[in-house]
Amino acid sequence: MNLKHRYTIDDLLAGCKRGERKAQELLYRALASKMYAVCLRYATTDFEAEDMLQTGFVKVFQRIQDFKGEGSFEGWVRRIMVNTAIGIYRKKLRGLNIQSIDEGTDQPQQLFDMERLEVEDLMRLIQKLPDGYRVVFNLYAIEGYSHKEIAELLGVSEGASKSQLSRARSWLKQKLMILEGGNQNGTYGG
Amino acid sequence: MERMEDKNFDQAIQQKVEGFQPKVPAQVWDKIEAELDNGENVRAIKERKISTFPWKRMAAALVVLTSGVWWYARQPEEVVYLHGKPKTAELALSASPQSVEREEEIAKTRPKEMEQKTIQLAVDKKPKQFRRVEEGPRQMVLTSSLDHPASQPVPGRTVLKEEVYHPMVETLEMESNKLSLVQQSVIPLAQASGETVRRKKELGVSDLLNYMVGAVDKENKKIVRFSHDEEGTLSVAVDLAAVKIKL
Repeated sequence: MNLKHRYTIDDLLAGCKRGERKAQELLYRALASKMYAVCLRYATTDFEAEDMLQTGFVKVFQRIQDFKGEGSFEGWVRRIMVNTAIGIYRKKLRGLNIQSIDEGTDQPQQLFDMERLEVEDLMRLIQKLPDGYRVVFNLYAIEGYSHKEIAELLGVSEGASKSQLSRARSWLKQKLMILEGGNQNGTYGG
Repeated sequence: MERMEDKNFDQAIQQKVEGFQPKVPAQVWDKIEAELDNGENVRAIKERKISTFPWKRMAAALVVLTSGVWWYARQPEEVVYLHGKPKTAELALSASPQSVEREEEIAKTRPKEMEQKTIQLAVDKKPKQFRRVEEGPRQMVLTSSLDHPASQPVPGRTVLKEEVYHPMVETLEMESNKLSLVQQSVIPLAQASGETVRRKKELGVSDLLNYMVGAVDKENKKIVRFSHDEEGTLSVAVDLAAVKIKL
């Protein structure tokens, strides 16, 4: 006899909207890992990521009545997580209106073996990015926001967003190169 | 234009991190649960406050409506009550100035009777007096003025007022082998005066309604103001200036 219950996302959503703790827990369990990965990319430490995850999910359950089924629920939760992360760094990022865009000049033209690169290592590298670089790189390269959107979200200029992104790429490439120990037989080439 | 190299780099990183599903520390859910418990308590109180608020307003509105309807519905009853009292009173009420004058004349033509402190009439001596008692208004003037022997015969209006509120009937009483005619008020005096006072208080329904409506500013401006006239018509005035202040 199969005692396991199968819940659809709609069942869980309905339960969460009624404030049922069990539904909230099941929904959390279903999305926690993915959302923790998002938080880890924006945070500098695992502890910070845990705090983000906690704050984000509390917001999700408190605002769940606002989710009207437009778009995917996962996408909605993810946006809340990203906004929670941005909220932490927004103040710090106000001073990033530096508009020196010198793309290409300091970017190493290296090849990287992304297949062989451990995702944990990559995550560590992203976490080590300076605050401004990290947030802009995450938003642009991974979340797919435009520079205009990032500028509005962070309260900085578009130029600053572009500049931060460029520096973030250079920084990451350099670190990846070091990580791979100068291995240039990678599958990814610039 | 973004360079292809950068695009590829971003895409490679994105693909790499998208599939990453780290193990979430177990204590995070406990913390979320604890925070939700606290938050829900606060929210429940807030929601309770919000949900009860319209009920209070609705109850207040219902009280206003009910008291308004009750007060309005009572009006005709009150009129019936005034007209429905003993016949003497009714007749006195409908007495025209002419009849008042006549009553005065009658009163003057009987000075002997007016000097009497009380009417104590032997049945055998003045049987006519009995008939007059039943006649109503005329006798009422007589008895009323007899009731206040110290006072001079007063103008018609005053006498009429006495008639209305203190209608008297004379009853026969056996007293030491004499059948006496003693006047008794149909409505006890105390009761009659009490009735008048009570009626004055009832007229304050609009004042009560005004009291229930909250003021908008320090000048005691109110959005709705109630008033009533002597006939008991309740009118409601809406102050648009107060509405503007409220908004």
